[in-house]
Amino acid sequence: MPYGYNGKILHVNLTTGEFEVEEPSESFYRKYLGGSALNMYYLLKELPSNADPLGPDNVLALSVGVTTGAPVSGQSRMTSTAKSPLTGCIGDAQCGGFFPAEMKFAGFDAFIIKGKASKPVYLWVNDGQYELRDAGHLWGKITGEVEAALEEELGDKNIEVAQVGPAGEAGVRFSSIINMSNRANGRTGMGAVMGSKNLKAVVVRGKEGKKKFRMADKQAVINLARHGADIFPESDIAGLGKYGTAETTGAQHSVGGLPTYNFNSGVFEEWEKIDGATMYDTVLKGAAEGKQDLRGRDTCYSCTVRCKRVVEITEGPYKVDPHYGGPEYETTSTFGNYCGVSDLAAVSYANQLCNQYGMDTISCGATIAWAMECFENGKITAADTGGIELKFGNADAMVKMVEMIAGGEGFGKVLGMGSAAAAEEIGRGTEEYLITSHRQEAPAHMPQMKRSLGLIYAVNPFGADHESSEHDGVYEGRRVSYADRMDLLGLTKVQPRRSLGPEKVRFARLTQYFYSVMDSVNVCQFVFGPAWQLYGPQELQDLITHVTGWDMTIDELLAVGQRRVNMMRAFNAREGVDRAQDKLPEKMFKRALKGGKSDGIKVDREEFEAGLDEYYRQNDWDVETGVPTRHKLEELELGWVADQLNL
Amino acid sequence: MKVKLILHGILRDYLPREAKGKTTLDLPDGATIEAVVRQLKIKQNVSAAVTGVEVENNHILQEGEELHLFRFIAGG
Repeated sequence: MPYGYNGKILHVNLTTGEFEVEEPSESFYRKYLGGSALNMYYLLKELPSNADPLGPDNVLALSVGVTTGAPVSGQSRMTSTAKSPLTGCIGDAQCGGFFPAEMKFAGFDAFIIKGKASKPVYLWVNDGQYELRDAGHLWGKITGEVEAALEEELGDKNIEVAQVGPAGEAGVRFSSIINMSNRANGRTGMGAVMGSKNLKAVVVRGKEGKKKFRMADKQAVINLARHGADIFPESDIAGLGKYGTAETTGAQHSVGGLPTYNFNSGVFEEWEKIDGATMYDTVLKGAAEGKQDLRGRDTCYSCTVRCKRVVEITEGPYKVDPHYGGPEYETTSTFGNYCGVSDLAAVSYANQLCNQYGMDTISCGATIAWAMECFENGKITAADTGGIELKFGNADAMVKMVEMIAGGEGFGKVLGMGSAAAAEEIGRGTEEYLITSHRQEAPAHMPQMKRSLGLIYAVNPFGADHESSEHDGVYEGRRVSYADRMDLLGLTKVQPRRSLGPEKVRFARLTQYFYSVMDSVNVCQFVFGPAWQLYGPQELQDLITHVTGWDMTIDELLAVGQRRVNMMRAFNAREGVDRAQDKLPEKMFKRALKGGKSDGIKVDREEFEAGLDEYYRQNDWDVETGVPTRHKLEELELGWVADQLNL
Repeated sequence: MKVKLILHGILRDYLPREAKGKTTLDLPDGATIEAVVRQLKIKQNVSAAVTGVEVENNHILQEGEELHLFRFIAGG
């Protein structure tokens, strides 16, 4: 019996209703660790090239990692991977909550899901037993209703449910997989893939499995957990607990890095109305009685941080049910400053709609912001929007758009394709205002201000993503604070601010590998990371060793991360995606930011292209195409992938 | 000299609640950001911006400057 992982992968064929249990070797688990890397193995093996992302040939892989379920902060994460209907490239998204740990306890490390059921079903996995059950009565229901119905049907309030909402059923291209009605495999449209298969939910329970969970050195894991709890109050992430990720809103504004009016500015004068401190003081559940720390915050399995928001609004036009959680920084940004909206109730309500209907708050809000800029410039009119004045600052219009996207009504149906596809549909020069890379909308950190992050936005195989590498500031002057951890990755040379020379590219690349392995082991990137997080690379190495008994090293971790990145690049190459698509939005090169401390700043095209060349060279990829070489793939034990690409 | 101080996120908690993270500091000439961090007994690593420009902790403050202190900007 292995330590930490089950040694079992459940293959599900929705077309035939058949199951197969695979028991890979220990060396397989050590090579991929789980999560994103493990998922990529199966997608490359079993997903034919040029498959329709919403067709039965797409493969949806859901997996946890070798340490998921251990009693330590930040390990309860699950990765979903498939071909993305939003980008046409690989799609990948992680979630937290209690579902991942329960999935591990239920007896499997991954579900590899193929085909399409003839009618709506849900997958029920209970302490090693599995079956497909009818979900016709759940189809069309929002997430909270589905959870309640399943708890009653299965007679257990402790089941964990990962589901698609009505948006995923309808094929909204940025729809998410939602668990707990407020945790999301948010990005790249994994909800639409699941919905296209008529798979309404995956339900897991591991009551007996939890008792059997084994670790190689349980006491060492407990010691690691206790150490984290001890240092947390004075750590750099203490604020994430009290104020959530939106504690950073004011800081971003102060340096001109808060994306506003669809990335036309880096400052939003009304930021204080929608930041984490204001949320804490006003709308977190219990705030009126001063009990928001107890009632207004939530957590994931075994995590001491408690960074999740729980919002309750009982008055006014935008009432919010605490069952649906509360907005993070990305959400307050995309529905807030991206749209010029400073109404926290409206932003919180938009967040609730996304959690009820199952949509990515980043792409949803950013797509609306793009549409607002088009409207402001006369490219879209009230005739398109059904009379809605889709202008910056119009909170009611923003909320109405979210409702219309969720319901597939009118202009909402167009926006539900994502902004890149909507621009293609509408034409009229609307593509000028896009903020997408690989057709995915940019999150709320600005390439104009963070140059290596911008590079990663462009080259990341699943589109613009702010959690795929470390942010520039840790290697610019502030580095001295995190020197010990950064040294473990071989990053020892402080860089000038807003630079993108070879050493900064190396920083982007190495931290990309580290973030990639975190998405494969499936750990939270606030708890584990290379710099400001609660634990550093040493502790991640130690956690894997203590749980599995493997003599893990940081070099081996980076190799797994590099393997995952290369597998994803290879997948995209197979789909005809290469350097030509590794771009930042044109407006970031052409249009300088307006106002505040970042006034006049834009991305330098020459510097960016040189950075791209350097990134490919350092990765040992073809500089002309950005495709991994056979040499690199074989070095990473991926010769079979090179064979697939005919390299 | 007087310097306007704005603390963001968890760093707000180093001032009384009613201050909402804002105050004016009376500092000796030549005071650095590091001196302010020590004075407030801030435990976390801080990033700093003076009048919107990110600076190192050994930056020497000037009369009338606006100093923002925050934890490292990332995540979301």
